[in-house]
Amino acid sequence: MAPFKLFLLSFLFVVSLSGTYKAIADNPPTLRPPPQRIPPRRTPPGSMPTPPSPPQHVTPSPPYSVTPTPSPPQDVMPSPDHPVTPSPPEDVTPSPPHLVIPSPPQDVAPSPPHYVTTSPPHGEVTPLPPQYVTPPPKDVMPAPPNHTTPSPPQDITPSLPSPSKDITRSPPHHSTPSPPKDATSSPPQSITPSPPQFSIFHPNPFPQSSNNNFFLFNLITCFDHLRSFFSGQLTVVMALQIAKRLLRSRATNEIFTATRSPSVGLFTTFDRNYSSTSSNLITATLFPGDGIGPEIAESVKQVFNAAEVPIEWEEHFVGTEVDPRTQSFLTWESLESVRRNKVGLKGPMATPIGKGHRSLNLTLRKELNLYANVRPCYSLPGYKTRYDDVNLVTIRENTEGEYSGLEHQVVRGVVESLKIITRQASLRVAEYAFYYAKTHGRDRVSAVHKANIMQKTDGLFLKCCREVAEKYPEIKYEEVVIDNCCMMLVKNPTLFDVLVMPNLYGDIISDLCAGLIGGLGLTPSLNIGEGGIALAEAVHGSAPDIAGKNLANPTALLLSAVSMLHHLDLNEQADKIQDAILKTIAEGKYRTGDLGGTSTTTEFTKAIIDHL
Amino acid sequence: MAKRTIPILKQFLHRQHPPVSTPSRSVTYMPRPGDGAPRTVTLIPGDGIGPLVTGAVEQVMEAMHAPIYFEKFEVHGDMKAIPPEVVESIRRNKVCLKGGLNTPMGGGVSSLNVQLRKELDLYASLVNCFNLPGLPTRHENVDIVVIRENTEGEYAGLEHEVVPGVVESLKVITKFCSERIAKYAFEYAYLNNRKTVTAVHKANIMKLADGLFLESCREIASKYPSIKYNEIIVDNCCMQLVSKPEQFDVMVTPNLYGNLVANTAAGIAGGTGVMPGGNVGADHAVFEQGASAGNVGKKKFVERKTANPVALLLSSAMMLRHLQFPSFADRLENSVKRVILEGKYRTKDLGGNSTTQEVVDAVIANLE
Repeated sequence: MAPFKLFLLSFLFVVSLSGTYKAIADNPPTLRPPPQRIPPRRTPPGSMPTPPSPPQHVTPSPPYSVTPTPSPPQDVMPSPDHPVTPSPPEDVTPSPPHLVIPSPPQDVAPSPPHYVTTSPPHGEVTPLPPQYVTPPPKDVMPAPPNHTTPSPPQDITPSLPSPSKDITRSPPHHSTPSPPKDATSSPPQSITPSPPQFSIFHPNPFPQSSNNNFFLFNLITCFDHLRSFFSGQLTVVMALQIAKRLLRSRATNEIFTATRSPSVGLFTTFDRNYSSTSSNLITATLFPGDGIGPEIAESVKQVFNAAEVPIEWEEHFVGTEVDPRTQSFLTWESLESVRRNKVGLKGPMATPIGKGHRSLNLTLRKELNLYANVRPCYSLPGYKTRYDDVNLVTIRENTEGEYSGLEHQVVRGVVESLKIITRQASLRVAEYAFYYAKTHGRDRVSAVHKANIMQKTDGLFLKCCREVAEKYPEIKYEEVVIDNCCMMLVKNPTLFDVLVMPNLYGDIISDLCAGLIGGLGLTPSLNIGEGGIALAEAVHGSAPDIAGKNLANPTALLLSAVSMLHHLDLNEQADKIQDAILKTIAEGKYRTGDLGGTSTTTEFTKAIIDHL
Repeated sequence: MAKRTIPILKQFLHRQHPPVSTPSRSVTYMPRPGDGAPRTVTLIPGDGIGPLVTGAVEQVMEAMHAPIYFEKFEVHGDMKAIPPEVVESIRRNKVCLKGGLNTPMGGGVSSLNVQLRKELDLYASLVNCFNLPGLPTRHENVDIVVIRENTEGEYAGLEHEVVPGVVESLKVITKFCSERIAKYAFEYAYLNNRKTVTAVHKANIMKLADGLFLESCREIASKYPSIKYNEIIVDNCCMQLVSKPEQFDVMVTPNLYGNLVANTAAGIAGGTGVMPGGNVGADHAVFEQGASAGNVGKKKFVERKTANPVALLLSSAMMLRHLQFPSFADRLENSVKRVILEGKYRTKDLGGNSTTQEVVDAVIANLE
């Protein structure tokens, strides 16, 4: 009996082997990422310091078990049992926020990035907003590869280019897997070829060398195919998922109808001509703000009316109590309105002192994901400062760097503060800088850094800038050390044109440049956010002492509104208004108190309107 | 010295004496017996314009017959570390004069300047930015001393790549270092009759780190009630420097902000070519050009030998005072100031077109 049993067992074993063999023969492992219903690499890039021996990390389980064993970074990974419901972004926050562990999004196709509701529970600390991980719905996806979108990471970054980018374009490199357009058992989809968590975890799990990849990928895909052979029952559930996605994306289609002109990729302004309104009006959100805010906002409205700018204002005010959805005094509706209109103008806001809420500026920045702060600084003819020939633009990265807010006390008397530079954020702001330079006719971009001391952090920033610079050969690119830059700025500001900088240097340099032209009361400022959002703001304070007395100087808000118009491609009207403002100040007859005159706000506004 | 005699003689003949406020013999420094013994000073010419300007200092010292001997060492920015004999020499002599050391960009070599400061624990860096009479700038009445913490802060050099594409850099602030720099700043203000000390920070954003720095400053400020103390945020500070620099007196800052503020202040007061400065610790002092704008001068200054020696000459005057040769220091400073006031011999960055050597000859000729 025993030998017979032995024989039976071995026979069965051989049969099962051949079964697996067949599986492999039928689906020869190609250089394809594993099918989507199988949770991707259990170890997200964040937990792999350097992939020492990738196969262990990558193959979650021996091929025979259907439920692969989950491995460490628990919060981030979807549990293998329910297919493809990745943990919602909320679950990501327990992991240290500064570790860029992307979270697979809640639904794969769905709400546009800006509607992601979760904001980090704790005050100033922010993980990268989940929308880096959410693909925008298909309509909003950036135009197929063109030079304004950053190329997928050339080297080893599994960091987060917006997944859609990886999905929509074919791999530029053999080391990144081809996007799962033909994900194994999914019905052909026109919507999203695959859930994004792939491209997050896939870009290049094996950073060592591309040579390795083929072999290892073959291994993995082989195992994955084996798994798929055994987990056919998941296909049904996956089909349901896809159907859900279909429906949801149809629903969200309306929101994004034709709000993107196909011309220039991500940052384009949108042509509202094909929207439904017949009057061709652009709706813009207006936050008058506190203190002198309402007066100067009024002034802007009057000037715009007189100049016949096709903008309709939607006013929002800061609430009097904390809105729990945003944890600040700004209501959810206000933020929604900015996200909807894509354009906004903000007056000075005074942050009420107290705890339990985020500062208003921080709220705006995080919720709208405003990543670049643009300040055009040019000397106002007629307002004499010590520097008469300033004409430069500072573009400052606004989300990370030294202002990540990640500090802790190591022991009593020793404090550490983290400065974070990521490839993605640097690429983003560099892209915007070059795009801005191109569209505004600037011929030089200078990256400001301190890479001789902070070699890795500013070195990464510089590397990203260089990469983007290569795509714009007509724009001159140079790198300047920050202390040299400071010195040259105060000696000879004409040496610079467009400056692009990480957060801290940007803060200091942009305020320095504001000082060169006469202070914050005259400086325009524009914040650019993901998805083409532009929020122009006046950076000066709310001046409660002169509030309501009709003495405020509306120049900063007016010039910010002008830069907003430039962003909207209404260049003609923008130039008209700008000329009127400059002429009024140059004449010198009507000047408000801070410029050394005695006019009131209304007189100044009237003078500008007359000059139009 | 012999081959310079003729040009120097020429300058003697053409010299005029514009009215300069030099006190004539109304100050007497009383030395102790034996103070005139020559002191050895380590000299590191460095890279770029370094050798040129340190050569200038050597010439002037020789002309003055100052009781200084220089021990020269060749150090270049691309070396991995400062050679130990140089460090040994500085420890022995306690005083060093240095040209700039070039830091290769992103090359994985940490800056030798920073290394030297850390090794010798030169925790205070001092730059004196002031308007030189006769040198027109956009701003008047500037007289700022920037005292900058030199060892920690953002320049701790602790960086690492968390995952590919994400890099972290640690900024470390300790109470110990903040306290001692604040103490130094207030002591400096007290000893030099300065009225105000301003702390520069960004504590609205970096609440813990710069908050700790501010706390230390406030504590020390309470011990010097006669000196006014105030605080200013760094971006506002830069804006004010550019519009109203006369409001600042002594500024105490952590490492990175100090770098920026010093270079900005140097820029508004005449450029980095004329600002003296140095690094000082408990036991050692290294004098160098005050604010070097992160480089060692443009190549063409080196090639055409038009580097500006004024900064290092004024720093060496500070060094002479540090070594307790105040009379020599006064003479040197007066001579340099007179040359600038005259305006005939100025290098390119001040708007003239003399070479380094011509300026040096002028200084030597103007020595009393």
